[in-house]
Amino acid sequence: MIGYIRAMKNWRLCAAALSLSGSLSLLTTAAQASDRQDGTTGTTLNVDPSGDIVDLFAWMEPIQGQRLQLVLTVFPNADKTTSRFSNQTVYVIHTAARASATDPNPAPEVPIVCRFNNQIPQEFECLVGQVDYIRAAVGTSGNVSSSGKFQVFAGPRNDPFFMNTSGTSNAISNIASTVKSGARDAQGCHAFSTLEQVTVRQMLNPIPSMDSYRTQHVLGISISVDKSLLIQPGKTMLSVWASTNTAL
Amino acid sequence: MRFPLLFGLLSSVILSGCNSAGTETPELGMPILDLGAPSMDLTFVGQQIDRVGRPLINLFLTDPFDLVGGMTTPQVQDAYNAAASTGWSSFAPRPYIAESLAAWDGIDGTCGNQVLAGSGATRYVPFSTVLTQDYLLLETSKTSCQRYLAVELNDPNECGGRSPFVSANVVDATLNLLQGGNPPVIAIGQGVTSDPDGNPSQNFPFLLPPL
Repeated sequence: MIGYIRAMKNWRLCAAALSLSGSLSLLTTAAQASDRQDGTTGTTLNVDPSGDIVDLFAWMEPIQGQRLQLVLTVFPNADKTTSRFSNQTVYVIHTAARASATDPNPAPEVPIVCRFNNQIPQEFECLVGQVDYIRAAVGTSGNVSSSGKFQVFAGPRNDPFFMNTSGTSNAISNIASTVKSGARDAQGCHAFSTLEQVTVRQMLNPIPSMDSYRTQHVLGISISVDKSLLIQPGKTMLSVWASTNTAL
Repeated sequence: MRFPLLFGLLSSVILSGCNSAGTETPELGMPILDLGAPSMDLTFVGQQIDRVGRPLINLFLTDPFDLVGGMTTPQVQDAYNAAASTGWSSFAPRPYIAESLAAWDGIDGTCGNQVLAGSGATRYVPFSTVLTQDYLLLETSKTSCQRYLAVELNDPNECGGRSPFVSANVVDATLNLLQGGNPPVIAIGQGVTSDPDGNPSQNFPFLLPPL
């Protein structure tokens, strides 16, 4: 645990080092959704797509409401046969229980951490907090912990995200040029003219509008976990976010 | 006021910051893959590479319009991805997320009608401060999870979070929240409202197998 806390401190130091005044390369990348392929080219994130987060989903099992369902997807446009999780990357879903959305004192974080080896077939292990554990092979089903409270699948899946990326990117470029060339109020807002509004709407929704991720795949980590492993008495609300981290 | 909880969230953020401490539970002594670490103490977790909470934040709000001087959009995204939770709030004010919110706010022809928009020099800071606490919020006592941002929007019947099912068109929901109006005068969308490959399953592991 001390190591984990030390790692968290290291992240903060790294974040400070990467402060907004930092000098980074001037390379660019195309805007993609929903999180994929963001950042400069040449970084770890873009060199190794297995660490590039595509999406995070979190919802409750609809019948009993006892289990939290989670899906973390990485590796944009993965090859369903050859793409692999990285053994140099750790996949973390951060959860924290709260009494309410406005709880000023959330419970300590309970991370769900997965990592992979480089064998063929590839294997993985996942920990929830430090109370439950699964080890299994990528692509296999039925991976349930001995307690029955933790289930994990990892492997290639169809990309569930849908969006017309080209239309959205075109609209964003149009908004950028309009805002930069137009009059902005003291808070930075440019009130679009009727013509400018129509242009944005048409760019967002060209005819026909196609899903840019149709038939594409990702690497998915699907998790079903009993909420008793994550929440505490009086704290039934959860905050959930995910990160990829280097493996030490 | 249609979004009281967002104000509450903002107050919480300002007063408390974000808790990211680790847990202090006993090690179980379980076997670990032959991947190096001899225990479950998570010492193998290193530097943060990428992060995500709510969808589209790092694409719609971290300088998509290239308005941050001295940095490219990808550079701002890099900084956002690497930031520890203790540093997330630094992305709230102009020229970062508040600047992007200002640009989005005007695309319906009206400035100041975005959710949580205030008056004066800090018009966009309340909403940007909420958004920089970039995590999904779920009320685990609820079983219906059909509405994205339900917790933030104070919906008493929905769990919030984000499901992968067809009802959760997060792109259009986000776009309309950003352009403002409650409801928007003219709803906007990008024309794709479901996955043409099919809907994910309610059964584990949820996502469709490769095609």
